[in-house]
Amino acid sequence: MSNDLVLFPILIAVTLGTLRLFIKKRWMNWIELLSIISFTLCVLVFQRSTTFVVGGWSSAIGVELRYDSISFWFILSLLLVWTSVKMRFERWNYSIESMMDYLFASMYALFISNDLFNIYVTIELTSLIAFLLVGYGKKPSRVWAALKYMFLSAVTLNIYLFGTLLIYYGTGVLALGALKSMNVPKLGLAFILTALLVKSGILWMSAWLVDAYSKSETAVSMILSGVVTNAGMFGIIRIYGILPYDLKTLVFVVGIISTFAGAVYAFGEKKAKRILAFSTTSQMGVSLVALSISPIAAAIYAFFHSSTKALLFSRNGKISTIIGGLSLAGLPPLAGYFAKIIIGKSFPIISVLITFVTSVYVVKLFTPDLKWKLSPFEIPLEFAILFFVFIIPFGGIMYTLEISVAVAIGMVVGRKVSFPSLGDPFGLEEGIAYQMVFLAIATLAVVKW
Amino acid sequence: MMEPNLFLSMIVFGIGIVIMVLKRDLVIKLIGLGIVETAVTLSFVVVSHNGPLPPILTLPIDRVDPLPQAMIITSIVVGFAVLALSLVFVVYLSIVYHTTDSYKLQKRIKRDEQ
Amino acid sequence: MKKIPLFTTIISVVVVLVLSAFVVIVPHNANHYPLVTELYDGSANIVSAIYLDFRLYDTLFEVLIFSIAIVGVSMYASRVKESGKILADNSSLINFDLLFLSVVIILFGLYTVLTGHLQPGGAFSGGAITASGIVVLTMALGSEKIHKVVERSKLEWFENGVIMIILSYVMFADIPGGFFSPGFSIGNVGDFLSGRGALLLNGTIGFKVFVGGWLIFYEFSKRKESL
Repeated sequence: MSNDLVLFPILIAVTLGTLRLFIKKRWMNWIELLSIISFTLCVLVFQRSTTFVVGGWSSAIGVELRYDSISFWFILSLLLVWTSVKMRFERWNYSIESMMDYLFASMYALFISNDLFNIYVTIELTSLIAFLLVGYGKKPSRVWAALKYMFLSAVTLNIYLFGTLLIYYGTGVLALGALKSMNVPKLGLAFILTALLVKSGILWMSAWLVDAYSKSETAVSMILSGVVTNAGMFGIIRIYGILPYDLKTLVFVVGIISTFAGAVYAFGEKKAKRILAFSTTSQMGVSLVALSISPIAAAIYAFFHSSTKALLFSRNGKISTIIGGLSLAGLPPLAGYFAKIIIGKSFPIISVLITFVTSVYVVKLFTPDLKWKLSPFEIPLEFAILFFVFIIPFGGIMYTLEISVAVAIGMVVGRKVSFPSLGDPFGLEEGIAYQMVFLAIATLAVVKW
Repeated sequence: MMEPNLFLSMIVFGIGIVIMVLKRDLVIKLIGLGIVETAVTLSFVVVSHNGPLPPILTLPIDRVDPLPQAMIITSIVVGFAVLALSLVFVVYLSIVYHTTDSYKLQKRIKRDEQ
Repeated sequence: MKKIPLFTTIISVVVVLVLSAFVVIVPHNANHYPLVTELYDGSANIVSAIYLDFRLYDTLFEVLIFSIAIVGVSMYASRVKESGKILADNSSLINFDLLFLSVVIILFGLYTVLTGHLQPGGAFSGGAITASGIVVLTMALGSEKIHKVVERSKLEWFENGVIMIILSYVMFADIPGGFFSPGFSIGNVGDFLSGRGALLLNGTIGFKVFVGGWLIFYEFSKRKESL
């Protein structure tokens, strides 16, 4: 009973989402916002970290859930981005409004999940909602982006399911808590890792990402890059503890490659939304690098990235772009800086390099056509980015000079140098090919001859 | 060696993937996706096979493992949802762009954007 | 140029297959479910016990997946122009046969839904059978009559109301036990009224699947010529 507080936001969101289909009124927005924010804040403030099984069964037969500090950061980022997207008060179709509630419920459920099959179900629900959101609007090319997303995601989730099955075959357990002390089949882990990497938006495997993020509506792009991308990342963080050493190395290498390749692709682009989409792949790579330090570092990085990227994708005005851009580059006292110094403690050179390549493309976002204006929906996100300033008195300052210099040099370089576009190797067939190649690499890494 | 039937279902999985890349028609790609989903379902059936009888309590002990069977239902429903949605998308795209060939479709979309 | 993805895919699929052929996975032999089902749930069908009791949490999301598929299909199908209809056959003998067949299929589907906790079957398979009975019924009577039923009866309302029933079962079935803990009594294994909330949940989810399948068929058959 004491753990039921954790489940409350899910049930509230599903109930409101269903009611939304019956009561087609605008004032439902306020009820949704108030109730979901208050209940989720209750969980975030009062709940201690806990592991429990839904319905009071033992973990061998039920669904195991876990609320801990990693869940805390992910749920906080979900709440921030979801609230600010809701506060835009878009004139959406009513079924889309109810889907936003379901999206909240499924993402929240994913972020407290500790069971391989439950992760599959929630990721699948999230992706289904994301397909519908991507295709929303008048442009037919969006439907193609959504269809591509759907094909690639369906293939990858089938790979995930197969991996889950292999693990169940070898151990008889689906709960991640119990798997830690078992001899888990490595092949199954390779399959699962591949699928989750694809879902988390890593170059080149997530071939759907660039089209889906850059073509969809502004609010949808915000929710995609701020919330949906975190789904795969969270899955990787949850299974990272049971990965064998080879796959951990593979995750690190993939993270490094995706970071720098994504930055190069972003530098070659001209449209702001495409730059941001490639930047997402780059930043998720950084998050994977942070994962090799500690899971909580990756969670904090994902939190910083989702609030920043949602702010940038809104393209609302000069204030949001400047704050978001500088935070993305990692200028000190903004959130990006604190996320970077967590990496800097273990890999100082990589951290400075990442700052440099990021600021090279960030400067291209500062276009003169933006206006000076501030909308209410930005405020939670900007507050989240600026909030970290309060950590400074507690001694959270390192590499201030190096990172500032890297940002300055990067911005100058980004203004002066131009770079040809690297083309668009992200068709449907290519996407499947990338996934399969990575699956082969992961299999090669785990299978001993 | 791996369990032979499980390996066979993996081969079916591979066939579905190759169809999705080999064929340019979107509807045939959908069929490939269906084959992939069927392969996963098949592997679930293989894994759960501990005995010949269905998982009913009143029957003797030679029953199949019930948990994979419960997971199959979910995966079938998910597959159904994905197939229905993507079929609608394909219908819509084929009406707007007058083709179901993925290469031509991508070319026409690029041309429209410029 | 277009061949590159194909060859890389084939090569990697072959690599994965060849490598995984040598992987040995020792199967486990632990299975708690039969005992637990007998003690705490009471359904004769163990799969139904897992589905509607031990892992009800997953089932809630699965129902949402289904309802989102329906919403999505009707949302995107509305962009496609309506065209074509299914006509009833001229021969009254064939029509009568189809009618008879559809009634049999629908009844069998209902039976499968309602006895899902006693024997193989259950909400999703039974609902799908019933929905396919509607397809046969449409062939017998012609699409105009059946589509009128859909348009007048506001099927989506019922279909979404089912989520509310499941939610209230989840929340209030056993209030001291917390959310997702099962309500009602265990009963004797094999009785019709046994297995906790199995009858209620099977009935509601089965109804939802039936209506959902019907709605998807309705949306597609209204746009028959566009396919």
